[in-house]
Amino acid sequence: MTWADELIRIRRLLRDPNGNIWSEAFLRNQWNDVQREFQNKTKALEDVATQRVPAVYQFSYQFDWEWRHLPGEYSKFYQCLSQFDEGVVCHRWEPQTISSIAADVADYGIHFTQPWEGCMNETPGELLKMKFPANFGVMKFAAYDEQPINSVSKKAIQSSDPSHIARSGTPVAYFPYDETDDGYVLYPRPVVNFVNELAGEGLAFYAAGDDEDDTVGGIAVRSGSSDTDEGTPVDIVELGDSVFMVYAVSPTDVENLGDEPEFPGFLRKYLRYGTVGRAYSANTDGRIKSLGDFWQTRYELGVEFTKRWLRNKRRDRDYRLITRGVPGRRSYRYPRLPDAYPAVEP
Amino acid sequence: MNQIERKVLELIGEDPDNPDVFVDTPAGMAPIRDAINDAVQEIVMLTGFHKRQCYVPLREGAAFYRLQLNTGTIGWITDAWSVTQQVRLEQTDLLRLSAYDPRWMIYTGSPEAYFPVGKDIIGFYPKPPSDGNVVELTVVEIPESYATGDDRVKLRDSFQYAAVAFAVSEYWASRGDANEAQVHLAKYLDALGLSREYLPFLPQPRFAQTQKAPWPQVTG
Repeated sequence: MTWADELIRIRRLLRDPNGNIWSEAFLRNQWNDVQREFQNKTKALEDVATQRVPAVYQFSYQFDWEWRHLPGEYSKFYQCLSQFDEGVVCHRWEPQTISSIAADVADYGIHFTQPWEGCMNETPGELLKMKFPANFGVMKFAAYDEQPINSVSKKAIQSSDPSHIARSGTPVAYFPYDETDDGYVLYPRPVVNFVNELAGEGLAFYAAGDDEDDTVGGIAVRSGSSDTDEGTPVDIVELGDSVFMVYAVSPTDVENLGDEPEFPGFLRKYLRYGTVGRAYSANTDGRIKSLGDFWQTRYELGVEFTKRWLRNKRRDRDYRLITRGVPGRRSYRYPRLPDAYPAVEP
Repeated sequence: MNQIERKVLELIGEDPDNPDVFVDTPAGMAPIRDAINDAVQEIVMLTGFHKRQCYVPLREGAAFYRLQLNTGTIGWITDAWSVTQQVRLEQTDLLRLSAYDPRWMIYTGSPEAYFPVGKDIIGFYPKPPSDGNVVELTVVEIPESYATGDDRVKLRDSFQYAAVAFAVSEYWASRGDANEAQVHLAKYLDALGLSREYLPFLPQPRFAQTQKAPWPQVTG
């Protein structure tokens, strides 16, 4: 069901089938807000992705003003190099020259406008940035080449490893570098060589048709997809030599009538309830407080029902996860004396 | 028009045999049918009464599989059975596996455990060393919406009253009567046996209290 279908049902609940009171844009904004709030409260949406290393971007740019000239149909943009004194510099000695300082600082390696250039059998002189998936919300699990990696801060890496920019090896951690750009850096930098060009666009989560070349260090390879001929269709997720992540999704806004909301169909009714509740509560000609309260209550019930559903998903487990240091649940009905209390008078 | 729809029409004052507003066409019945479909999906989500069996043919070295059912959406997995090994797989999760052994993704072997990820992905530990094995899953299936009066409504008989109450509640809310809608919503929760847990979420009725003295006063 697309946003257009949801809109029809929302308007039916609002008794405004022709949109005389609540416009499509108003309801769409409310829907987008509600789905973000619903996801924040329930964490119902999770996804899995594998990312090749190095990341592949569609375009690079240098200055902020270039952003608005980038093609709108793409989203994977890389801000390359570094800004200094209203200009862009490649090497670390360039700011010295611009500042009329004669000395030249030693640099760590090469600089590039696309991260894959740093993996052409050279040592990159800057961090090799990756980009989280477009719908990334909160990381739940990450692994590189089938081994878990931890989240750390850049402060921790810089404090413990003076050579962290040039160091290479098997990544054991990652740190975010800019949350607006949804970017992160693997530490240490994985030893990979970019050996073939990508077909397709942007981050190749499931790139097909690429060949692995074992002799120069393989980059994530993915071929084959749905297996529709054998029972349940399965889409196999490959893990080798790439970043594998499980994350809570940040739902993408619906923008057009044909957009498909990310939530599964059986949860979308709660988004409808929340949207209708907000519409009835908004200060418009259609404001009816009692109905606004009713639909808001129905929405909150939906949040609770969704949490119950998430608990049901874990029901087959034979164990319970507890937080270290927090005492377990007490089941005694009556107060009890300490174990060391003498049973009889000595 | 099926039995549940007829009951809903009766409760909202329509004649099911000669309906005035909700005529027996896809467009005419859409509001009632959509509400019943929402009710069925919510009841399955809460109770898990509708199950289905599906098979996952394992592939060499592949630990994660995205599942898609043809007739609905996966609610959750209740049982996983390794056909070749003839053992039940234990449910686990990523946190526990990583705490148990950080190299858990590397090992291959006959799967001993499974873990659900997201809404439709299942992972196996350890990952299969070869093609050949099949895992038989029993899953709670949240059914797709039925479209016509002749389609099967995947609902237990004992929950039919709950679905009716749900649809009647939505009808009253869409007619602008929040109080009546709330009354039927409470009946819906009661029919599911969830009223004790979730009824406090509904606004409680307000009682007016008089300030008059309960006995006659001497005046003048």
